[in-house]
Amino acid sequence: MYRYDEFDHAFVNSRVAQFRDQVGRRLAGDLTEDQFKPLRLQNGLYLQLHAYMLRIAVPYGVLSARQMRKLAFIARKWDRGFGHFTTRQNLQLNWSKLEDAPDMLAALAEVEMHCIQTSGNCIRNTTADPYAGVAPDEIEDPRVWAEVIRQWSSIHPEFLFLPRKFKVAITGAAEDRAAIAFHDIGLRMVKGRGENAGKIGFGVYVGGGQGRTPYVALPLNDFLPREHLLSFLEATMRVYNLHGRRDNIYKARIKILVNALGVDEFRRQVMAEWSKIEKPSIDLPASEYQRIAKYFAPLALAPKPNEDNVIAARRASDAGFARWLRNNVMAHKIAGHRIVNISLKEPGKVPGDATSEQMEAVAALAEQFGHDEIRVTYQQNLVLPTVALSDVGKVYDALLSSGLATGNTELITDIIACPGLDYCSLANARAIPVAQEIAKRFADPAKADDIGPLRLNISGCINACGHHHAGNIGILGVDKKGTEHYQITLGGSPKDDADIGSILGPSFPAEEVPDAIETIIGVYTSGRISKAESFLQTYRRLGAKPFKEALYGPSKSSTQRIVEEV
Amino acid sequence: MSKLWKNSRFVNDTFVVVDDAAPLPQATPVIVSLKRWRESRGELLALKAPIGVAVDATAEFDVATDDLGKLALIAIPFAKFTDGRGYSLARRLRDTLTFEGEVRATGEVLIDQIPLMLRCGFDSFVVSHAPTLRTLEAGHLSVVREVYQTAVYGRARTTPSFGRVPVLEAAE
Amino acid sequence: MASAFSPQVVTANRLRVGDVVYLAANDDWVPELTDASVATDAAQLSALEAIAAKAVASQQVVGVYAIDVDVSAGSPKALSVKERIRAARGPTV
Repeated sequence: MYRYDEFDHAFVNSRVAQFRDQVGRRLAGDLTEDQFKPLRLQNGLYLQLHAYMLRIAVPYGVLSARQMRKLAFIARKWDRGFGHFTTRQNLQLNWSKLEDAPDMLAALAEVEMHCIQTSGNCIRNTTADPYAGVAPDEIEDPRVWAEVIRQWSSIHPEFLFLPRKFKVAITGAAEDRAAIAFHDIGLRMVKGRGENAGKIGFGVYVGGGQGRTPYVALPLNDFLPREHLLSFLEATMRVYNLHGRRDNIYKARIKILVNALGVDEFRRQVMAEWSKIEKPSIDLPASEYQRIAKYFAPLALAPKPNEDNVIAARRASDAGFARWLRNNVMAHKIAGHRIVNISLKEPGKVPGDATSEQMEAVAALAEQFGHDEIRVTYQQNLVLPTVALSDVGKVYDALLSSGLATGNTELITDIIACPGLDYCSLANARAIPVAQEIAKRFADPAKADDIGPLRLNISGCINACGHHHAGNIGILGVDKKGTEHYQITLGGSPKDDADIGSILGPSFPAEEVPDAIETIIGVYTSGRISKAESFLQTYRRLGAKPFKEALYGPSKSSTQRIVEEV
Repeated sequence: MSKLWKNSRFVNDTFVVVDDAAPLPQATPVIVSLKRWRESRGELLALKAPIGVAVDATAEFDVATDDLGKLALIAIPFAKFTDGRGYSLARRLRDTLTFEGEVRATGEVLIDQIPLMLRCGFDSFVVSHAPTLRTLEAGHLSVVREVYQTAVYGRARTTPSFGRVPVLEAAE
Repeated sequence: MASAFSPQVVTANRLRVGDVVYLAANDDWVPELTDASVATDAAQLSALEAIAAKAVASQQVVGVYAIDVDVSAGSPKALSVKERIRAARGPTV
């Protein structure tokens, strides 16, 4: 992984000193809250429902064991001994203090971490395929470019006061595991064709996003030679910065500009800007690319047999282990190695939360068996990207003793949930208790296995931090005359077949949600052609009708009920 | 009470802002609107004094006819400090249009944004916010000197190399 | 004329630490909603808000706003789910 050099160290230390000075001026009264708020947000500090919240950047979801231990330490020393991994691959601490924040940032800087631009109307932490560098289907390791973007976007003087926040996601693999279609800019590394044959570049997608106006990103550039990434991003950002709406916060994201202009006109404006930019002054010099790429050189691992007798024997005798192996352990690009997913979704627990002790347990596993690497996924889980197959049993045993061995990756209990009204001042309804009740309802592993791959996402408000639009089943918390209600959407997908879910009908009170989900699952399991047909495939084949009828009855059309509800 | 900050110190403002309807003073540096510059270029050039143009944050310069080379100053407003369009306008002026005159920031110019403005090509600042005035008087600019981007700094362009550019030192 | 004013309490967070607080008697900011001063008409609310504005200006608190409360049981109780969770000073899970 990338390591800071003297310059990077000096940069984050300067940033800590700057924020310490800004906090001092705020407490002394030289800065009003209005003037201070964008500054603290650009250092990851929110004022939430109960307290300040610090959002720590995990650049493109990559952590070392030492960094994870420091996160555990910070959570214990200045917070309440746990943290919440987010859909932006970051970590949130819910009980921070303004007066402690500079010290927390200084502690992060010691391990080459920061909170820069984890909030605010600026370019946020770039998210990436959590299997980057180890996935068998990878064209090129996207982490090199994610790090390039991290450096380029950090305190980019032109783009700190954009109309609204700006999120970039990148993948270098054939399968999209970074939900690039739901980002302001999605980057997919592609092999060139025709005149670009033999080259590697980016497919650039723009204007995706969730929130109250969800859009799937549109193609902006089919093949951007990778060496021009930064000048092209700069041109795109400049068009957005100058022309994105600033009169209405709900219409300020780039997706609104792109869809108002039409993607062709937006592309024309970007190309016009790009043609005027002096590219060599912006683009990454080859020497700098080489310097950064060296840090992401593949591990020098000897291929090993892809079968292991001990593992095979245990799989046959230990159902829990077999399930975990089947659901959480993925193929690695080097034979005899595996990608191990660590679920933070034990049914009944808070999705994405980890205690300091659990963070330390994962750090120890990364040191002992995982080549010192940990990833955070946007599904709010962790990954040990490289574990020898022969060590997988030992990793499982250690996870089991830390309460981290739930074998439910991408199953119905692997729920994405935002903090909701339990922590968030923007929320309309709680998300965590609903996630817990649903997970408990499907806690029987055999039941979850039978249902198969299913993305269930819950947001506590229309801002959609819980990605409900992209869930095969999405749940949105709404405030209905002072009570928490939940709207259900079906058919969303965050993957290559990206789609936005459709609202099924009127909302339900919290206590009826698990039953409603069970009804929906019942329609799927009785309607699927075979167990090989996923929930999403069945939904797409059958349409919403049988699900609506099962939930609301055939007598009334759901549109009527929506009208009545409004 | 606003003051003009330039080259790391407060200086007297030699320019006079002239409303569109007001008569043009003789032999005095003036700042007029882009509209007036476009309409009365001949009259303005005949004044034989430095001419500045105040634009709004939506300004689209017409490279073919705006004759930016004849201008001594372009003033860009920050109606609110959170309105970041001015940064992109300044970079267009410096990078794309290679404007060499003074680029002046007006409006809500606050201490924590001045370093960003400097890096985008602004080189003078009309400041009225009291704590900002006080902090500038004290010569205390809270700034991250290490920068990852190539970016203009006043008239001095940095070497085109990614990162590792101690930009702010260059012009102090 | 009968007033349609619903009883309100003024809340904020302490600037330095972020704790949720409520404005109480003697210009004090207290952690328990039940100890807060209740405004029962617009004039009382304005008075509380004026005190709060001073506390903002002196860097004591941040994020001031008024919330609706139920006083039928004597001490104030938050009406909305959000404010009930906030007054409990922690998540429900």
